[in-house]
Amino acid sequence: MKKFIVHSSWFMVKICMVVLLLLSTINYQLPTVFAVDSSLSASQSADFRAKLKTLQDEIASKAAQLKNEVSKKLQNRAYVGFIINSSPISISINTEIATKSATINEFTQITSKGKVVKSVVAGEFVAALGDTDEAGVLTAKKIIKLTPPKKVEEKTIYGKVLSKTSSQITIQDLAKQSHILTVDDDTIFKTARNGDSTLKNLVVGSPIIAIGTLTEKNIIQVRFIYGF
Amino acid sequence: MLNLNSPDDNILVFDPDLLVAGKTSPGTVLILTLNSNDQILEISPAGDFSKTLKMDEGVNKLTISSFDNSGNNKTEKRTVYYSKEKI
Repeated sequence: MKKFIVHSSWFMVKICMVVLLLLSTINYQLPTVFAVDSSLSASQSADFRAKLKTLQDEIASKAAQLKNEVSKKLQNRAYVGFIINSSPISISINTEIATKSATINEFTQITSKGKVVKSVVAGEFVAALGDTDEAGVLTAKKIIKLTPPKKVEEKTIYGKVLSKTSSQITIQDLAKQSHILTVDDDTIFKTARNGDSTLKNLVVGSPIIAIGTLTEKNIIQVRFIYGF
Repeated sequence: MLNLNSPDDNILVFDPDLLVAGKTSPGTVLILTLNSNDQILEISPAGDFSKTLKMDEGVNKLTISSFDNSGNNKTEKRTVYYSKEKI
């Protein structure tokens, strides 16, 4: 048994020596390990970075342009109307469409008929000029007191001619309501393609557009008529 | 349809030339009123319109009304202040 164990061990040693000898003779190189960059080569990566930089520059340029446009929109504004509230530092103005606010500071110049005055009060008709902020509040560089406009009700009306005389036209609007229009020598008559016309050329039954002012008697004093 | 691209509302300008421009539906009649002076505005076949007008110093009120053949209309208004001197 002892002889067998000794023989087996010596045999294993021999086998190991043979293996080691064989391994030392093989030109064994470890494969090179590359860093993982599965999608891009070096040149493609550089190209991608260049395109990204171009895109970033374009976005920055457009953002600056947009900011400039927004800034321009806020500059040089005018609020015209009657003052409904006033204090030493601010006024509220009733413009055509909405009530607007304007602030007054030590640089605000207030004028009336070309002369500098100290203040404005509610009820006055003014033009406040300056720049606005994003909320639409105007910082007034100048407030000009103006003569209030005459109270007239402008009318622009479409209707079919029902009848006419030398100075009056009766029309019916889309709601089937009748309106009386008065014309005079100052009334301008136009047709398609801006052609000149006269009252004589108006055909009963044809549609017209009339622009004028509403008088107390609910009659429209017409200054302009367009005949289709 | 009536889109008035120029001028903006409530603006202060230092040039008396006012550009009125925008787009409406083809075939409509466009009437422009500047300070009670009325005129027909020509529109292109596509409905575009553009005209330069002379403003008075001070407050200028602009109204544009478009009418189709049935009398349906839309109106846009603008207030423009023209100052001869810069503020």
